[in-house]
Amino acid sequence: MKDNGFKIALTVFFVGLCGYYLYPTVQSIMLNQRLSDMTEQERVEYEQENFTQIQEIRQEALGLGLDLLGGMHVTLEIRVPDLLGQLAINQDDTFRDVLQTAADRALEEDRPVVDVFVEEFESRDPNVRLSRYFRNEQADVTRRSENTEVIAYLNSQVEEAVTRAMEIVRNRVDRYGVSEPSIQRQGDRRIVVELPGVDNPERVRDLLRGTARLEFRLMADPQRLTEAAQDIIDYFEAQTAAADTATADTAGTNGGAAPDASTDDALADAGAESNDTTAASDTTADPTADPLAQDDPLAEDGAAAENPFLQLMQPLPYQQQRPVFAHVIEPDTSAAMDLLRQDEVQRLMPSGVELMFGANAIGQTEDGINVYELIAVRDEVELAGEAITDASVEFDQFTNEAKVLMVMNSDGARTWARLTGANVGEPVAVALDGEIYSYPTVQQRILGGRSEISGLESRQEAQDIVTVLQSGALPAPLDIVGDRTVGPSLGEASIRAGFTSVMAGLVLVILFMVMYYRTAGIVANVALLLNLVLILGILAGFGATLTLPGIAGIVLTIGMAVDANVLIFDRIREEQNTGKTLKASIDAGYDRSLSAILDANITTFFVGVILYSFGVGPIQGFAVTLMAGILSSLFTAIIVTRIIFDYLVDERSMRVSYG
Amino acid sequence: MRLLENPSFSFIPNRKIGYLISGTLIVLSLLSFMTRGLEQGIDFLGGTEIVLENVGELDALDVREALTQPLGGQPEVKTFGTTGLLIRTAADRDVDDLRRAILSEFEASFPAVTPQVVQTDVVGPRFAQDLQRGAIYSVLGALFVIFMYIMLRFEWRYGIGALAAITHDVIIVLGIFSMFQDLLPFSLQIDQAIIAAFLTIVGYSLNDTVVVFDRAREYLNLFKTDPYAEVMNRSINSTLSRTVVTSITTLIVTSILLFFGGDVLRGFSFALVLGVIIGTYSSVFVASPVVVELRHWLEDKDTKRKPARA
Repeated sequence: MKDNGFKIALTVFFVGLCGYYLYPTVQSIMLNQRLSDMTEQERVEYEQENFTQIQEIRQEALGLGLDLLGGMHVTLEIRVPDLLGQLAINQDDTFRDVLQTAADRALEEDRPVVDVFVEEFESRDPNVRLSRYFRNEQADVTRRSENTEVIAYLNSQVEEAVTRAMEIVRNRVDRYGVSEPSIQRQGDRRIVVELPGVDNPERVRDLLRGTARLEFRLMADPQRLTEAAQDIIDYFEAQTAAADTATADTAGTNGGAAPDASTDDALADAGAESNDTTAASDTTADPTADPLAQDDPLAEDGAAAENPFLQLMQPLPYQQQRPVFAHVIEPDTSAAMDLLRQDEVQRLMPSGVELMFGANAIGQTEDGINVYELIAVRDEVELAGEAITDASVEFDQFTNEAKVLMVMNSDGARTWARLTGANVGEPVAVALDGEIYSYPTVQQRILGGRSEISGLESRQEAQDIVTVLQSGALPAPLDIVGDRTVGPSLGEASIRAGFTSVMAGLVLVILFMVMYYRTAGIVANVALLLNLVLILGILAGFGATLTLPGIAGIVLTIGMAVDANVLIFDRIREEQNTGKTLKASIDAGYDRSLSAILDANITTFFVGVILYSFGVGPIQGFAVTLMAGILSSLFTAIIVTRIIFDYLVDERSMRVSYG
Repeated sequence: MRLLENPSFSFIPNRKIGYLISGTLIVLSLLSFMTRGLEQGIDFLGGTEIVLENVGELDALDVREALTQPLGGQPEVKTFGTTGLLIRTAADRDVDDLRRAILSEFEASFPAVTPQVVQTDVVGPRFAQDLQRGAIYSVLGALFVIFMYIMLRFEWRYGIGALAAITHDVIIVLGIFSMFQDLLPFSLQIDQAIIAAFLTIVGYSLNDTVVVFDRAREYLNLFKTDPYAEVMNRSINSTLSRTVVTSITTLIVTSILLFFGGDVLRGFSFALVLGVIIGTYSSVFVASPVVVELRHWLEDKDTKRKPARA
C-alpha cells in the first residue's frame, strides 16, 4: 500500500476540492427547501435578515442555465456602418455608396466592417485620402493624416462604441432590476445579454435596443396633408381604373399611357378635389368627437374596397393644428408604411415631410383592434436628445397621468426657447426612437430648458423612458440578432425531465455493472458516483452553469464513464484466462489497457474543445460537461478503482470477482 | 455474467457483407438528401419560433390555416409535447408583434383554448449565417484534429480508416434524419444541438475504433508472422465483448434521454441513439476493413513493382 500513498492523497485532495466548491450549492438547495416551507411573511423576514449571506450562497452555488431557469438570452449587434456614417464629417455620394457596399460585403464575408470599408474605398481609388471624410482634432486625426492613422482611429472608435454600448446596456439592465444578469462581449461587434427569470420580455427588448433618440420636430401643414391624401387616393383610383380598362381592351391611348396619365390627372384635380374635401369635413357636425366613428369623408363613392390606399388607412379630414395623416389599424401598420414608401406615392406627398406612427394606440375598432395615428412631421430635427441632462417621472396634477420631465443644457435651452418662441400656437412633435409620443401646441415661449413627454400608457413606460434617457444614448443603434426566451414553466419541466434521466440512467447502469462484473462492478459503481460528484465540482469550480444540454452531457458521461473500467476489467479477464494470478492479472490489465483508454479519451476531449470554441450558449454547456466528464472519468477509472482493488487484494486478501 | 467469451467471428474475411450494407445505407442516404433534403432549424435558416402551451387538442393543420393570413405566409406548425404547439415562421417581424398577432388570431379562431407563450426563439438572418459557419467549421475541425491525432499515434492508414468510419456514421445518421423527417412524432430538424450530437457521435465512434486499433497495434508486434487480415480480425474479436458492453451502457442512457429527457432533447437524443448503434457497427465493419484494404492495396503495388525492378 505504500506506493499508493500519493494516489490516495490526490484523490482525497480532489474530492475535498470538489466538496469545497459544491458546498454552497448544497447550502443553496437546503436554503430553497427551507424557504419553500415558510409562509410568505416569514420568508420575507428571513430574507431581509440574512440578505448578504443568502446573496453569497446563491452567487457561489452551481447556477442553472436560462433554459432551465427561464429567462432571456439576447444577442445584440452594434450597427458599425451607422457608426461610421456618424463619424464622417462630410459625406458625398461615393462615401455613401462605399459604405453601403462595405456593409453588405462585411456581412457576406464575415469580416470587420472597417476593414472591408477601407478595402472597398481603396479598390475604387488607390489614392483616396480617408482624412477627407474623417477628422477629429482630439484624436489627432487631421487633414494630413495618413490612411493608416485614420484606420487606427476608426477601429478604436468602433472598439470604444462597443464598450460604451455594453456599459449602457448594463446600466439599463441594472435599473430594470434583474438579479444576476450577465453581459458579455462576443466577437468584434456583438453583446450577449443573459437575464434570468425575466417576466416581461417585451419590455426588456424595448429597453435594450432603445437608442433613446429623442427629437423635437415641427409638424406638417394639415391643409397640405389632406390635399396629398386626396392626390394619392386619385392616383390609385386611376390605376385600378386603368387596369380595368386595359383588360377590357378599349382605346390604346388609355391603356398604354395609364400610369403617367392618371398621375397627371390626379395632380390636376388636386385643387378642386381638396376644396370638396374641406367642404365635406366642415359639414361634419363635430370633427373632434370620435375620429373612428366618422364615415370616411374622402371615399364616399364606395371605391374603398378596391383602392389599396384606402384599404390600409383611413385619411382624416382637414383640422387645424392636427397634422394627422391617417388612422391605421395595428395589423396594417407595416403594409401601410410599405405603400407610402412607393416612389409614386412619395412624389405626391408634400416635400420635407416625414410620416411617423404615434407611440400608443388612440383607440380601438369595434372588434377591439388597436388604431394608431399616422402623424406628419417636418424632416429637420430641431432639437435632439443630446441636450437632455436629466429626466424624471412626474404625474400630471389634473389627470394623474405619468409623464417624463426633462431638463436641457444651456445650448438646448436656448434652442428650445427660440423654437417655442417662433411657433406659438403651432404643434411641436416629441419623437422617441421614431415614434411620436405627443404633439402639444406651444402656448408660449418656454425659457429654462424644460420640456416633457406626455401621452404615455403607464408609469412603467415613463420609468423605462427615463432609464433609457439617463443611461445615455447608444453610440449606434443595436439590433437584436438572436433572442431566446424560455418561460419558467418550460424550464421546470426540463429540470424534472433532466433529473429523471440522470437518476434512471444511473440506476440502470449501476445494476448492469453489478450483474456483469460482480465485485468489480461494485467498485466501478463507486467510481461512477464519485465521477458525478467530481463533474459537478468541476462545473461549480469554473463557475459554469448547468444547462439542459449540459445535463444531457452528464447523462451521456454516466454511460461512457464506465467504458474505461469496462476496458480494464475485460483485459483483466483475458489475463486471468491465460492463467495469471489475480494480482498479476490486475497489474497487466491496468497497464495494457492504459494506452487504449488514453488515446480514445484524448480524441474525444479534442472534440469537446472544438465544440466549445465554435459553439454558442447551450452547446458550450454541453461541451464543458463532456470535457469535465472525460477528465473525471479518466481519474476515477484509472486511479480510484486501482486504489480500491489494491486495498481489497493486498490488504484484505480478497478473491475479487471480475464476473 | 459473460457476453461473447472468446469469440472468433470472421469479420475481416466477410467484410464484403459490411461493404454491401454500408454502401446501401450511404446510397439511400445520399438519395434522400437529394430528393427529400434536410429540414434545417431556425438556428441555420433564421426566423422565429414560438412555443405555445395549453392549446389542448387543436389540429396543427387548422392552426396553420388560421395563422397564414395574420402572419403573411404559411407558418410551420407542429405539436410540442402533449398540449403544446410549436409555430415557426420566416416572417421578418418583431417577435412581440408576431406573438400578439398569433395570440389574437387564437382568440378569434379558437376561443375555447387559452394558449400561453412558453418559449420564443428568434434568430436573425446574419446570426443564422454565423451559426451555420460555426457548425461547418466545428465539424471539419473535429475531423481534421482526429485525423492528425490518429496519424501521429498510429499511422496514416489508421487515420484514414477512422476518418472513413466517422464520415460513414455522420452520413448515415444525417440520411436517417432526412428519410424520417416527417414520419416521427418529434422534430428532426438540424440545429445547433444536433451538430453537438453529431460531434459526440464522432467522439463515441472514434472511441470504439481506437480501442480496436490499439489492440491491433499490440497484436502486430506479438504475431509478426501472421497475415495482417487475420491479426486485425483477432483484434476485433478480443475487444468485441468490451465493444458490446460499452454500447449497452451507452444505449441505456441515451434511450433514457430519448424517452424521459423531454421534448427539447428528443431530436438530440435520437441522434445519439442512432450514433451509438452505427458507431459501434462502423468500428467493426468499416474502420478496420478499410485499414486492411489499404494495406493489401499497397502490398499489391509493391509486389507488382518488385519484379519490374529485378
